[in-house]
Amino acid sequence: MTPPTEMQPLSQKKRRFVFLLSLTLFVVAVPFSVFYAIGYRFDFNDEFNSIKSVGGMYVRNDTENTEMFINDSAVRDMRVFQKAAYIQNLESGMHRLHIQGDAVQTWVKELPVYAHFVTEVSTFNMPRVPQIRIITQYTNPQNGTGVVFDAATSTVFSFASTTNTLSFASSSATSTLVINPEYAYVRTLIASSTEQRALIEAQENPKESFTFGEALLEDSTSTLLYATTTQTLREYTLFKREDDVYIAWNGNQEDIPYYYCVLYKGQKQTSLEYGDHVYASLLSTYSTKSELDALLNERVCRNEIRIDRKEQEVVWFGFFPNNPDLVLMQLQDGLYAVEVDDRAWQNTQLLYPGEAITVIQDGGRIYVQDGDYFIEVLTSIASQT
Amino acid sequence: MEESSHLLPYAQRTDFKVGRAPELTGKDRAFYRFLEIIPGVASWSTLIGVLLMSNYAPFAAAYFIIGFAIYWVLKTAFLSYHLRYNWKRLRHHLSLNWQQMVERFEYGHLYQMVILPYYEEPEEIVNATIESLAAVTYDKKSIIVVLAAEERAGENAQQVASAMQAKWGSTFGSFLVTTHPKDMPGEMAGKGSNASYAAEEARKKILDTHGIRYNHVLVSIFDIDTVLYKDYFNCLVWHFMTCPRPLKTSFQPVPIFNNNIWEAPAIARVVAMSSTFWEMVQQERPERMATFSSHSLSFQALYEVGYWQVNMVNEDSRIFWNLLMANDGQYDVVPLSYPVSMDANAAPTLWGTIKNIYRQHRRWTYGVENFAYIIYHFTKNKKISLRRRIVIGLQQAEGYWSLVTNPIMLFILGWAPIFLGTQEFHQTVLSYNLPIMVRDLLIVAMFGLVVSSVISLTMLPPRPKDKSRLRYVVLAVQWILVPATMIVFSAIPGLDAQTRLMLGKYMGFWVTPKTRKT
Repeated sequence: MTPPTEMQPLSQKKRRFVFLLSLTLFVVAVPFSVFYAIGYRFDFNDEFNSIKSVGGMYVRNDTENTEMFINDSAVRDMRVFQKAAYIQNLESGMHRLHIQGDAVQTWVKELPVYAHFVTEVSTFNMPRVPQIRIITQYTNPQNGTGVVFDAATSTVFSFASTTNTLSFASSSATSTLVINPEYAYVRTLIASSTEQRALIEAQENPKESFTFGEALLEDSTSTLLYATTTQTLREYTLFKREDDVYIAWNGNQEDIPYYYCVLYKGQKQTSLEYGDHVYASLLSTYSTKSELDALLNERVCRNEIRIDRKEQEVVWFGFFPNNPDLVLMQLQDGLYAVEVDDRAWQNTQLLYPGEAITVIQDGGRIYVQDGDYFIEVLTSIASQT
Repeated sequence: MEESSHLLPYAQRTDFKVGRAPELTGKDRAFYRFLEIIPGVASWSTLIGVLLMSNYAPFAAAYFIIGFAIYWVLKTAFLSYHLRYNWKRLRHHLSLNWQQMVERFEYGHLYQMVILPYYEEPEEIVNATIESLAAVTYDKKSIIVVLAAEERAGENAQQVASAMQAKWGSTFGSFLVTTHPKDMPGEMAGKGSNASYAAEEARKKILDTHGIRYNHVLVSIFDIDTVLYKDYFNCLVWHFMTCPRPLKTSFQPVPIFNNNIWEAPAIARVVAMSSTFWEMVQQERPERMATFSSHSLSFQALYEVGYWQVNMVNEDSRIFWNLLMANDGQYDVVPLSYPVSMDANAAPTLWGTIKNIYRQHRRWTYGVENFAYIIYHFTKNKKISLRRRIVIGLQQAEGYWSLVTNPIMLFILGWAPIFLGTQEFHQTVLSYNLPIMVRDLLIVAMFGLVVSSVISLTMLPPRPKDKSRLRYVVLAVQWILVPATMIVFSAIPGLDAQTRLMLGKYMGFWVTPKTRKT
């Protein structure tokens, strides 16, 4: 019997084999991985097993409890970063993306995807039923609920979901109630803004109808009222020209939001894929057509985008709180959130209906005066109902 | 003038034990300084280059990063293969009866000289080491213990030495206490100067007085927290007797930093086991090995190069390079695949542990000072084959470069093109696929950590009664800390060390504090 002995180190032969195997795998894997990363795929459905090129779509979606569909097929949760999904392996062409949920309005957009490129898009889904909080003049000292004196209040707002609890006071006596300071604050805000609107209208442009704009300062809790129709938020400028509202980018071109830019494929294809308005705005940015055409297959950007007003008159407009990709627009029939991205139709979602309302924005909150009521309009489904 | 006739011819050069560029003059000094600068410049250039490339050539940077991530996966698999094999070999060697095995040799003439340099370590740590020495299955009368104290450590160190001599003096063939004088000219305070002084004292006071031949003495230099397994010397003798040129060979055990593993925090455990695993991998690649920490070699070889260098930090690895140069390339390291236990670097507080680990690893990675030494002497000693010089030079360069750059590139700079790249890059599929692919490849590479986790569990000392069984789960899961420890305790201290060397801000020796719960 052979006595036990020490175990020899790994033989050179084995080590060399493992090394060469690793080297071979490396040599094979690197080009395959790079080609895959660039966007090449084997098309096994093709009879020639040819190689096809793919692109992708990067979708930012802040709304919870929604489902994403691409070309009417559900997208698996492929999120690589929070609140965003990267849809891979899309072939070149137009792709219809829609986001829907039970209690929110559906967002739909059709955008082109090019091989080896990713189309970015931001989505939003406002509540289907307006979410409001009624700001009452008094509150009940015992339970802190808002107090209303008109029993019909609940029916007045039957079209909306009221997020705060109200109690009905049978007596008009207020001595036992607590004054709600927010009510006085909002009333003053709306009164002063209405007053200023009238004053500015009379002083600056007495002959034309005037639309007042508000800017939400980046780091403030209050809005600034400008004596013009132009508002500024960081590098964005929101302004009205003739009957339309525009949003312009004034910052560094390297930081310009993606929706100002398109991959230029010539007049015909650009108009076909994005619409004539996109081509027109590009043409106005690049003074001549030849200058624009020289940038074929390159990323070209505009500096301003027109906001869709649904062929209605714009009564009021402002930046959407905490989201420069959206604009608040008060049109004749109500308050809307409208997306800036105009590479396809601009999704326009109703926040609060009403023809005779006054809107003001303060510290990231949207307040509406509807008749005798002061209301805060919420932009997401409130947990409290 | 110091007697140098016993030194090998190449070791008699005045620049043989150069520690740093200012010790040389003229062109040699400039050349050595240039070599000291190279590692830092290479690492910084790589890291800055990746950043610049990410900014100005993001597509090329992305291709490079994908290739690098694949390289990392394959390297992990490659190293895991070596680790697993060495683990099997280690277990096999632990299962052998080495005492019985060495009986086939005539080895009664061999003496084991154990040099134990220490500084301010408490008595219980010194005692535990000597106690383990007394428990080995080897003739104690053939063991010469040299307890090497430092004068600068003060009275406490002397008291420890006296206590140890009183307790263990009669257990071994000889028990010598030496006290290395402080502030010796030309010396840097550190383990190397202490150990060299102790070796010379032992030669004069024990070997020469007893007429013991130098080639009959195997010297083992152990860190003072080293606890021996019972068959260490038998295993050493076996390899000494069976290797092709025993007097031209160093013998490297596997340092397992697990003496205090149950008390050490997770971060210390992971770093300690990672160091052990690296040494285990190296055991299967002996041509890439240098000596590290505790190791053994013949006194003859040691004497022929004038012992360990006294003017630099990492004398444990430098002694191998000294021997390689002095022997014209005819010198090897034989891996024993037999363990010695040492302490994981753990201070009483977590923050203290983090600081100590960082400093310890900065000292270890300052081993990059060997690069200048190796290349410098490769240009001087043409008797070493050109092929060996090229292979070793490239291996060392790659080793020091990858130690610093790879973790940072993989875990931090891998995402740089996404943050620094141009708009043209950001709209491409490549830009979006890059983080996904790197993430997926790193997940695949994590398989290597699973191997590490499993192996580490098998190498634990018995669980103390006051530790819950759930601790095993923690010990298995702790390996997820590896990406962080690789950067904080490998790449950054390595870059720190290389930068200091590059700027000529030479480091001194830092003694790792040793504390153990009793």
